[in-house]
Amino acid sequence: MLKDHNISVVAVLHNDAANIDEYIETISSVLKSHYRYYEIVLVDDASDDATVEAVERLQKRYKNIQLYCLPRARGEQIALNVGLENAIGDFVITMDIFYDPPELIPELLDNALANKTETVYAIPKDRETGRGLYDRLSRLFFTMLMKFTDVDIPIAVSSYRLFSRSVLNYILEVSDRHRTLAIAPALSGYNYGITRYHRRSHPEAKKRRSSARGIIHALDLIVSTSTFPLRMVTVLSLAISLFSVFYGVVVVIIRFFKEEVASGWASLSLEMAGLFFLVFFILSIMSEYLIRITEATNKRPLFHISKESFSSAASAKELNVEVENRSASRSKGTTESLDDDTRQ
Amino acid sequence: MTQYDAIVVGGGFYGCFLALHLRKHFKRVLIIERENALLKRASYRNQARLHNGHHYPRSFRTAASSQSNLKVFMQAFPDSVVSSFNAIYCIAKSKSMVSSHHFEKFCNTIGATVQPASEEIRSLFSPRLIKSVYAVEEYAFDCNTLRETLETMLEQNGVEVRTHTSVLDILPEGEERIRVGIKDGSELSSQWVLNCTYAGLHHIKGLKSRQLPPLKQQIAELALVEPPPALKGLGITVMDGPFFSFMPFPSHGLHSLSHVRYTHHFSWTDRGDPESDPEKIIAEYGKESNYRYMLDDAARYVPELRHGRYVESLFEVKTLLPKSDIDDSRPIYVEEDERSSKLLSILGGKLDNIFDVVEHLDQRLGVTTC
Repeated sequence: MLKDHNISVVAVLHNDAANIDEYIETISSVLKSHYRYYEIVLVDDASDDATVEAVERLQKRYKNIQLYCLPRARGEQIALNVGLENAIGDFVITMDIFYDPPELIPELLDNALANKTETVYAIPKDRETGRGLYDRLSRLFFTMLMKFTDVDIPIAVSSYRLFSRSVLNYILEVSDRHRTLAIAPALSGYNYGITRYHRRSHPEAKKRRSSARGIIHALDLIVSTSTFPLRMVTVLSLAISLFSVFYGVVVVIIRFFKEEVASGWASLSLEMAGLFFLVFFILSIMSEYLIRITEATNKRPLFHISKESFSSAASAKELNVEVENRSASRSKGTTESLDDDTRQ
Repeated sequence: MTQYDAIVVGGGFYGCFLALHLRKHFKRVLIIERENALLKRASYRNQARLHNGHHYPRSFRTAASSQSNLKVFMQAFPDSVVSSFNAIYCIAKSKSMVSSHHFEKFCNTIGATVQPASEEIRSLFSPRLIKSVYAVEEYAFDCNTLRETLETMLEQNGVEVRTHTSVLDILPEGEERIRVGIKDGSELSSQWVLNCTYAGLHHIKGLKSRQLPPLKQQIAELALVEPPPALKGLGITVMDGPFFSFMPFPSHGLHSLSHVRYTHHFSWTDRGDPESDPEKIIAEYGKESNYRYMLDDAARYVPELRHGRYVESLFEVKTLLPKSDIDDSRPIYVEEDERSSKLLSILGGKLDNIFDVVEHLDQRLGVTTC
């Protein structure tokens, strides 16, 4: 039986004219056979080939394909954001249509529904155990990220994931989401599930990801989600300034208790110790202020309320009856208003 | 063979109004309607919006004629006008083809009311997706009241109405008479025949137009929704692009939801061949509702809509002249038959364009009575 959820699949295209027909056909048939309501949101990241024309042709054959074209290549992260902003579904799935098998979509949603999780990460098995440079770096990065920040995210995560409208609403509130998209669902703090899968193998696979770009993206992520590096600066500076004080004390002791001290050494060393102390002490103070400024300019919402409920406890006690919850009284209000309408 | 002075084919708003107008000049006027009552199809199954110009920031001419026609309509049918709601126009932040500044300037230029909406109303909209919210002066019409008014007027003026029957073929006989065969087997003869069948314009047997314009036919879905209390007294229009309208639908006491992306199910070009007969196509169409997409997208802009309850959908063929596809205007179209200048096909996109048609028709009547 078809499920009643409205599913949005969001994918970024870049010079995919050769494969797009097959992608869309598979995705469409998977969605069509499982869901009553679905849409495919495609973002073309300024392809040079006939990708856009190919999609426009497909729009005549398949229903509910939204296409957004970027005039200038802005990179996968920003393009993905465009798709997310226009997706209308209750659940949104982001995927790399080149590697990620659409057949997994129903499994992702079933996982979310069965375990009542708001996010499901699809974990590619080769990323988990792969020995390639990209896989290793990626694992290293997410391990580090978990240590630096309080972000809770599976280590071998890919861009293939499903999240609910609540998580999406949170993500869309984040102003630097083009940098933090990879871990944005984790930042929301909602619980998650994982589903493991095999990536599609493409014998003639073009290289879509480079390690260099991955490293830059990783740096971006760390700097924009964590003040840990700055804290390190504070601690290090404080340590060096304390050491300088200690060094100054040692210089004074040597000057008075050791004979044969070259003239001028003590004053020069004291001056250096004093200056180093000042410089690093100032640096540590400034770094602490920088942390505050970073946090203040970061427009990420301070908190996100995932659920709200209400109980008028006092009156319930007094009346000794079960109190209707808020949504129940709302629907009651609606039926009353309908009566008004039919009376007119 | 029963003799008439004028026969109007199609008892929609246009047909009824023109029949009443013709009755001022002629003695025996007849309306033939296929449905079992008047105003049951496109006149009924639409947004019920009375345009006051705001809707056409890209076509000054259409906006201006909407305004003047609205005044006439309100004078002619005051009982059908529903003004008991706050009309709200919003400009979307992205994807809108007009900016807030342009919209304000446009409204001021055409002299349409536009005011920033109250804080309470503005709080109903997502600040992330909506740039500005305006309170404007716009009305809806109640099609049931309009039908009753027209029925009374037709009866008082002695216009004959035959419902539940349709025209089989039309044949001009010489310059003076036109023979009309109808479904119950009877044959009528008339001096004037007006074809006001809207979507069915090209599908009356025997018509021969000099230049048959291809019509763009669309299957349109209007979702009827029970509004949540917070939106009950509002008519919301989000401009100007792939957005939606949530308008009171007075004849059902509900709201209608239409969405630029999901209301139109599919369209085709109608050149008069039997395969493109809209009546046949809409009857055979599966009519699977898109309401869920409309509601889900609209609720992103107006979160309260999550509490809207879908009731049913009305499907109808919407007919456009190819030109209005381009410049968003809704011109009227009057075309005479090849063999008789008194056999006219008339198409007007909007209810209140009728007064332009009347003006045009008067010119033609004047020419012949001279």
